[in-house]
Amino acid sequence: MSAYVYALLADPPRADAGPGLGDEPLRYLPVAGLLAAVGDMAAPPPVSRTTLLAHDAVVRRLAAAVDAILPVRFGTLLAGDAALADTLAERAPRLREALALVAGREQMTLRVFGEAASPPAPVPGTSDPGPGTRYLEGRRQQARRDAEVPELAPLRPHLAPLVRAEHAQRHDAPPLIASVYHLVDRGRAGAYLDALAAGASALAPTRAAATGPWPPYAFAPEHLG
Amino acid sequence: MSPAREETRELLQSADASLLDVVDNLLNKGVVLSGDVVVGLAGVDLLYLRLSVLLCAADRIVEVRPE
Amino acid sequence: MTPRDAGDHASDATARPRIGVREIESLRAELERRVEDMAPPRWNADPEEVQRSVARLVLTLVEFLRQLMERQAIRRMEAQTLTPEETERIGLALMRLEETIRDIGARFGLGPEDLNLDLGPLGRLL
Repeated sequence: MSAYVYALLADPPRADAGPGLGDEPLRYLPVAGLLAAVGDMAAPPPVSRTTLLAHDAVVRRLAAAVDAILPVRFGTLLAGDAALADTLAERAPRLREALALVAGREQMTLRVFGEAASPPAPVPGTSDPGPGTRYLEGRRQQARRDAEVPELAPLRPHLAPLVRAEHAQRHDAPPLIASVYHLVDRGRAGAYLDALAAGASALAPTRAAATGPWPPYAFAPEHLG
Repeated sequence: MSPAREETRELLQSADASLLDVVDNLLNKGVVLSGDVVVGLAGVDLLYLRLSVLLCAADRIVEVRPE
Repeated sequence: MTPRDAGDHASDATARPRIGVREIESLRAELERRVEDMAPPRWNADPEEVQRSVARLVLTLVEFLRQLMERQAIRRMEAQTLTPEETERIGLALMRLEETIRDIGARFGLGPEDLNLDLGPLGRLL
């Protein structure tokens, strides 16, 4: 039997979170100051609409019963508790930080559509930059654009009071410009959608569509960089 | 193509908008706890690379040092 | 905590963006590109294609290092802990490294999209 991991928690759930996606009972393994919510399975579940929705449902029930939860990727089956403890112990400090960030919060996913902004003309320095400097400056600006999604600028003042953290991912899939994951206080999804609607005309012709609230899948430490 | 990847492909092709978000969250995000790299030859697993040691070293490299 | 779409919410309908088929298709295409393999990261040299497999692994690792170095160079440039001469030298070196990776890759029929072997925990550094 192997350990299928659903999520990492800071504290035990306040209420019974029900069974896992294979109807197996959930148990909570303490490791390095956090808890892993685990179900015992012989083999990894296949990828299907049913299994994905069932896994998400388990994570949501857990999220409803705790303040801080870090959902684990679907299909994470480890050899056993010892392997799980090993892999978590190494990463515990960053995981605990991430749990502190997501406590009492949930995720809104914003997809940004439209025409990507063209890269700004390179700003010349005081002296004529050589090819190496121009290259590095170009890479720097690209990295900035990837992280900041400048196309979203007109919307940001509307969203800023609600957003506690952001993770942005730029895409090259027109008309999809970027996916932006926002962490908001629990219960504020309605206010977030209102703010989105209020900012829509300022944002135009760029368009943004939000879904959520979700448990904070996008706020695992590896995704925050 | 591994079975899981094939299943994912099929799922994505028939997914409606809301399932796309579920796929993004569950298969593209979340904490990743998979083991370290397995290196093999001719289909035989030979090495199990525990990259955590290298991880620490690289971490120190990317840390910005005050001059 | 049940998910809702912008469509569910009672707000001014004209302010709500209409997300069409083209948008959804672009998201679908992007996810198809990005969804990673479910199995643990594995590199297995196919005996018929050992040269190409080795090249792929080596170039993936070098590309990973290039990205780490580029990131560090940008950080130092922004923190202004590089002299103009150093910036020029590092910029040229990174530019040439990028070209070299591309050229060697081309010789083995490997494009940038092939240098994507999952490096497991190492990959998460980026």
